[in-house]
Amino acid sequence: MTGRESIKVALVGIPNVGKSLIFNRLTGGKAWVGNWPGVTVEKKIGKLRINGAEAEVVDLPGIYSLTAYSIDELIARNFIIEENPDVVVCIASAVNLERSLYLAISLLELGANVVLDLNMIDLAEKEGYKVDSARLGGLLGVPVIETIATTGYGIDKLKNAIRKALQEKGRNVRIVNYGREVEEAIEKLEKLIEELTPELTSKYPARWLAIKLLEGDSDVLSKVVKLPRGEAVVSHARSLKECLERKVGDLESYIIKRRYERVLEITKAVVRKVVAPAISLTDAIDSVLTHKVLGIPFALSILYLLFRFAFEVSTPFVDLIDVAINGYLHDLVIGITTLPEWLTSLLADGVIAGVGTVLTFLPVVAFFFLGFAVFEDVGYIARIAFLVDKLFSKFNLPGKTIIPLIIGFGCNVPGVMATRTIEDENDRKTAALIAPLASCNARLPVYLVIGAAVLGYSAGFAVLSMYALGILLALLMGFAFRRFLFRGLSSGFVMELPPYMKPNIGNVAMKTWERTKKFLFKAGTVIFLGAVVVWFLSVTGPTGYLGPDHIEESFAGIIGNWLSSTILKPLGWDWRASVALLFGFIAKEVVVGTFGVLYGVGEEEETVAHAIAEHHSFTPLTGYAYMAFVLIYIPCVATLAAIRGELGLKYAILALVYEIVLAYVVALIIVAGGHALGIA
Amino acid sequence: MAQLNIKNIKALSPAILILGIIYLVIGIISIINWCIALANLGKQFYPNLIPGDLGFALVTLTVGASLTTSTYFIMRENIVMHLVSATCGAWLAVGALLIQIMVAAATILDAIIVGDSIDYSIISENLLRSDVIMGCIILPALIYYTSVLRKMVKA
Repeated sequence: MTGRESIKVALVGIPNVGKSLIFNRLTGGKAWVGNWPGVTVEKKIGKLRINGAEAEVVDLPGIYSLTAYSIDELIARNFIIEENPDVVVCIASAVNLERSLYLAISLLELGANVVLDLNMIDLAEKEGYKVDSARLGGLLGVPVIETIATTGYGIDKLKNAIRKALQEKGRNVRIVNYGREVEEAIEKLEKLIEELTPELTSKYPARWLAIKLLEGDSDVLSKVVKLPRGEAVVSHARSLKECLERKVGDLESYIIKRRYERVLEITKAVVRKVVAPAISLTDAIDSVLTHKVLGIPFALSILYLLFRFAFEVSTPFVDLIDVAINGYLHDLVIGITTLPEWLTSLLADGVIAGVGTVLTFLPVVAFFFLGFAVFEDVGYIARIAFLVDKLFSKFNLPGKTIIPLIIGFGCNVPGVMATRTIEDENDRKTAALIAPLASCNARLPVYLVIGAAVLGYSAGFAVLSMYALGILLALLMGFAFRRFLFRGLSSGFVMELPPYMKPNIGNVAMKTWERTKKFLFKAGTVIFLGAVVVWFLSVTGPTGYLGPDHIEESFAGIIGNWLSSTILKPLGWDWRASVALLFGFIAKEVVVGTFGVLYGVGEEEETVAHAIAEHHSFTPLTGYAYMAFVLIYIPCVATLAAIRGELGLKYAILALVYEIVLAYVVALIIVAGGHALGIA
Repeated sequence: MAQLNIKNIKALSPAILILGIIYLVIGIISIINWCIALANLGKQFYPNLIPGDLGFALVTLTVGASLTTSTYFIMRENIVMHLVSATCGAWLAVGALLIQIMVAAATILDAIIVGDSIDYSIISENLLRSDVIMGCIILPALIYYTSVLRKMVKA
């Protein structure tokens, strides 16, 4: 034991190595989910019983190395340094040992007490490889345990290895030989660090610090330079670096190269090919699913089927909740005649409608996450990202950004929540901010009604153009965000394609439950509050409570009138259009219903379109601008809540503001451009 | 055994090509139906059997393209690629079939919940569709092709 009361075990591994499954196997699936301090990268903690004591198991982000180039890698490395976990379980893929070994070597250089979990040995054997784990352990100087996370094979042995590792400390940090000249420089610098900055060596291995200084690691440099005699260490490191670079070229690249050479050396020594080379099932399937022509239609088709599963198969559950809450419960409250009218309206149209809105989203979100988790477990989601990576990289976006955008065509809420699968924090923030620009199903009725009312035969093209406009704006805004707002650290475009696997029911259920629960508690509260606020604005005015039939005199009506006579005047929309936009904040489909109420014709799309045409509320040009405005102007309250849940309040406000400004600018360009071209 | 499999696969390949062409035709008709509905141009072609839906068209065209492409591979004696291409297409077709069956079940359940009557139209609208019919036809081929593919990539 380490002497301190709580035992800490960290799980680390490259993406798609089966880390979540190992975490669930070790902890029994019970986890506390939060964020790492100061960032929105997910932190998962579970419990494991070791020698009668309870150990805390921390699931670190999926990473490839321990550089300072990515937030995830910094989190992992800082956790290992600052929290000093008793054991670091490095989960390696037996299928792709080289990449995993690079991370393992980085951990050993950092002085971590490593247990190497060699996962997916079944898949490696299927692909004709055999890894000599005993020899691997000998070469690295760490215990190596073979596991198959999907079946639970080897998990007990892994627990035993963690137990044994608690008795030991201080692994071999000299795992890579960087060549005589560099080694001499490392040694000199090590001595200097120990002499001038002893406060650092209590936390960090001096050799690791020396290597990082020679590599020019920005995080380590900033830490050393802050110390009283740190400047001397840094300037000495710089002169050594300059001197060495004259001989070996770029020192950082040289050090990485030497590490890879060591990795290859070890891999050659421990991996044996037992079967004659034949195409593996994964490679065979990938030759079609990641094919440059067939790959994209396959991806879009699979996502389309996922949409149908989420939106259509969940319908009875949505209706069940709708009937129970917006039907029975609503009628029950309306039936209580002893309550004052305003209180009945607050409870029925504000509180119950708010709860109803939250809960009717729940089945769609849960079904979506269920389907998504299956494809994630199978290994297909990584392929979709791979397919569009080249195109998206032109906009400085990773391929994975396509997933929230495509899902956003169904509903922006799961679209925003799907950004959780993007590892890099900056990429994830960008994706979550642009996801609402994908034209969701709720906007379609608005396009159809306005199109039918004022655009005639051009309606179909106009509707199609909205989808194209959404994607175009999303890419452009993504590019702008990455260029001006999230310029910092990025994980780049490295992508690991995991082998195809059968989905694990427990893992799929766990992922679905965790993501759905997060939606319910984080997004639910905001949706509820939004619904109540809109209710308040629509039933009250300067004279007090007005009831639901006097929208024009209500605060909402007053705001609508003010908007149409001031800010929205250049766009040529009347007060009804402005009020409808206000109510669209709850959900975009409410826009059509609001028009129906304001024209007194009910909510049928055809009659609403007829009423709009009859009142000459829009010209074809202002109607088209209105469609574009509805596409962009504001994420609905549920989407906004999802952004708040994922990124925090600051970014939810940013999404709100930038989308309003963007919508206004685009609508203004359409109207002004149309007028300039002589279009009415 | 392996020789027998290859012989069977070669014998089956014309059927796979015909299925692929049928899927392509269905996909094209679906796009035409979608355009007719969007521009309000009149009567659609068998709208219950072939819905005018871009997503539906995308799935059927992808299945069709994958099945017909597999024939190209068999002409070049590349049995594994023929199997993979046909199997991926067939999996997608069967996936569409399964989703449609689930949608039909959900529609019936929904009708019970909201108190609507359950009549034949629910079944005919949801199950007498080309993706369901074609999915059922392709299912035996999928099972056979998957089993052969598994043996061939392992060998």
